[in-house]
Amino acid sequence: MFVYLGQRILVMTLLLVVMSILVFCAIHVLPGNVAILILGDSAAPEHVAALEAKLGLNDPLHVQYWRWASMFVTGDFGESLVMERPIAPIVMEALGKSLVLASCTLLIVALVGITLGVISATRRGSIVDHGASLFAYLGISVPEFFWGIVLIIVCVNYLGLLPASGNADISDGIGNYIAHLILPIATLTLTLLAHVSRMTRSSVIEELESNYVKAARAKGLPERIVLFRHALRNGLLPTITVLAYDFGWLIGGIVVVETVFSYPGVGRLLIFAIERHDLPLVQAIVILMTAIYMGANLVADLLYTCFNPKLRYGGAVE
Amino acid sequence: MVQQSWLMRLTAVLAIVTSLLLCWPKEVGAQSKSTLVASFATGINSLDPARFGNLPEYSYGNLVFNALAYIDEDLKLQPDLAESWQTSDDLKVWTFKLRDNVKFHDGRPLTADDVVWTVQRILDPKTGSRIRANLQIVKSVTAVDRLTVRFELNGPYADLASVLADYPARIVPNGYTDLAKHPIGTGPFKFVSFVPGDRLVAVKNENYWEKGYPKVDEVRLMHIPEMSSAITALESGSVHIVADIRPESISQIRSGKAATVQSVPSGTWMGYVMHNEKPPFNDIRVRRAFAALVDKEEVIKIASFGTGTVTHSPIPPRHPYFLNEVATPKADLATAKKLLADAGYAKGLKLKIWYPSADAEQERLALALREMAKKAGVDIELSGVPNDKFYGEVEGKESLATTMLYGRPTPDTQTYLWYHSTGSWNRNMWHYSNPKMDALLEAARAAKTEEERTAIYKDVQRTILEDVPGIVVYVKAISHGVRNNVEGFSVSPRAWLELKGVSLKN
Repeated sequence: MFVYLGQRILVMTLLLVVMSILVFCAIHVLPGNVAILILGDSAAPEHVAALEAKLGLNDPLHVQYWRWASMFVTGDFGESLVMERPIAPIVMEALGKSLVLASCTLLIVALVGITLGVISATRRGSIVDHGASLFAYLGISVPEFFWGIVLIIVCVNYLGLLPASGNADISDGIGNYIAHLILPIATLTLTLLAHVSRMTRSSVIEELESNYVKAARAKGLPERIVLFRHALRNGLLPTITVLAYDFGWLIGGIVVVETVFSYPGVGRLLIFAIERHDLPLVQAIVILMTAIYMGANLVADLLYTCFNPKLRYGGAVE
Repeated sequence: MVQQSWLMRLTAVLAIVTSLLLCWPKEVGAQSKSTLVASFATGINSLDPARFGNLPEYSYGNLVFNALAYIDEDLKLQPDLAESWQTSDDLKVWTFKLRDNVKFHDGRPLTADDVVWTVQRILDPKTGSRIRANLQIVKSVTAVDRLTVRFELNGPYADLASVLADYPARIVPNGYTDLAKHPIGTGPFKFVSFVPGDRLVAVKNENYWEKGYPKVDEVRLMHIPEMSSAITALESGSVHIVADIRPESISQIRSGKAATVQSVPSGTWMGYVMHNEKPPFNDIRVRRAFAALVDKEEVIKIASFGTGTVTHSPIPPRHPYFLNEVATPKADLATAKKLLADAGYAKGLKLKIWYPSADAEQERLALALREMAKKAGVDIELSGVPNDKFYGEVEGKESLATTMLYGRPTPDTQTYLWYHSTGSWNRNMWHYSNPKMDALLEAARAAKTEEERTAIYKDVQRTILEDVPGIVVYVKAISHGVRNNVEGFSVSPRAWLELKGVSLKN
């Protein structure tokens, strides 16, 4: 087991290094550079040259990369070239905000999605099943910015119930803070529901038709135990993979929702950094996002072993 | 069945939690302090005044800093940190007397050394300041005594005070290098915190040198990129002022009852840039042909939904030097076709027009030109690209592009850098060169009377209309959405927000 973990972590580290090199090259392939973007269209060539020299953009690529990498591994994320402020606090703050939104959303998606999936599976073919499927498909087929804007118009404009932006200071009250989060979470839940509920539904249906469930029923176990202790536990495995993947997406891929709700998460920060070719900022964010993504998948793989002992790594199957 | 009761329990729990949350007070408990909230669609990039480049940054600059002078809503120059100033006869030496007893937010007093440091810093290429080009006229700046600053210039320049009132020339403390992290100024508000992409918070400066200001206790500048979310926030009351509303969104607010739209023509101008050194625009006949086929009123309708105002050049229509004597010509297709034929394009001309795809108004500008040019046999293909490509590879290099530029404070700053053959903007845009124009612009700088200067700038505008280095079509109206309980706010033609005199009535 520990050998397995060790191997995984080694592979993750290698992947992070490769990512950082790829991102570095990609930024340099893009037209323009950060000096031009800071100085804007008024830049005379000699001004741009002076700023480029100061920012070290004239050094050969591998020198620039090494300069960044040697600082990064010691924990010094450097300063944003555009904002001229230390990167670590900026990224950590944005990451914190993204983590709050991602965790809450994931929790709600898991609860609602699994519930819907189980209901659909046990009442397969009924109107409840069709209704749940329709709801889930509607959520996923319509783009999330549409749901976001519709929810804002309905809940803020017409009903006046909730605030239009997703972000509030905790110092302004915890109830207020949660109220701000409701709409973004609702929007994201609508988008992610279908994967989870449909996956759960088909897994649970499959499990319910298997031999061991028949045996359990024949034994006289109450349906509730058959469903939750046996069928669901095994049926949840694919759902866990989906949830882990969704967590990664919720951390960096929800730029659109972050824009609609003015939520200062990591996705928007990354777009800001890329547009301005602010390399240290881009690198810091990409590496953190990749690490989180890989970590989420690692956790999912480890959770598998909890649910199904046959899948324990490193141990022989008795 | 057993599952049902489990399900019903879960539903009940969810219902209780939801109703609790909805009942929870959404507004903060009775605030004894007043907070003014303004929102912008673009974000603040840097807290260092020397690095300012967009609207929220200029507005933050007005909160936390002062300049030597400032330009009010009537475009008149007023003293700010400098009580008075005078210039030598040859307009080459300027002396500014600073106000006494002005303190920075950390308590240190304002002295001439701070002004010297600020200006030298802007001129230092390593600072990366956008205003450097405008201040290159300064040969040296010295502190004569504690409250007196002397500028020695490279040539005569009548507008130095106006340039020093411009956005990035905000006075910062001598030797202070932490501006981007902990900015300190002399302004009506003190900087508190900045979260990139979210908000900037500033609180009242109790010791502000101008008595009676500011009027509110706290200002928050929010970054809300999605215009519909910002307008919703304005109508629901969480935002008091939404800055720079796009023409297409104005009707959304006029129909609401909680807020209104206030607009004023600004100095921000929109136009078409032609590369004067590359074909086809190196031939003046082609440039004149394009000027003839553009119907400026029509372009305004298409690009700005009718909110813009026609102009001949970057000198705005409300300015006293504006060339009223020449009316806006209507489109003249016959002349356009003849000029194109003379230049050898009788069979037609194929071109690409470049624009930054993030700006919808510039896209419409390009579209308008394409439609008009078709009638004269010119086939224009639209090419929208992201900002980094536009500024890195397109502007100043391709033959035809659109442009949008923030207004500058004076006729000289509005024209010199664009039309003088050595102007830095000129070399990045249309590459125009005409010794007659150079002479006019230099004479204007040395002109001693208003009549002289008016006459010269009118000649400048006539030359622009004759030579057509590019086509300046219109100046944009700047519109802000303002809640009805906001008092003391007026829209500045400089487009930024000036908030020190604003208060909230409840």
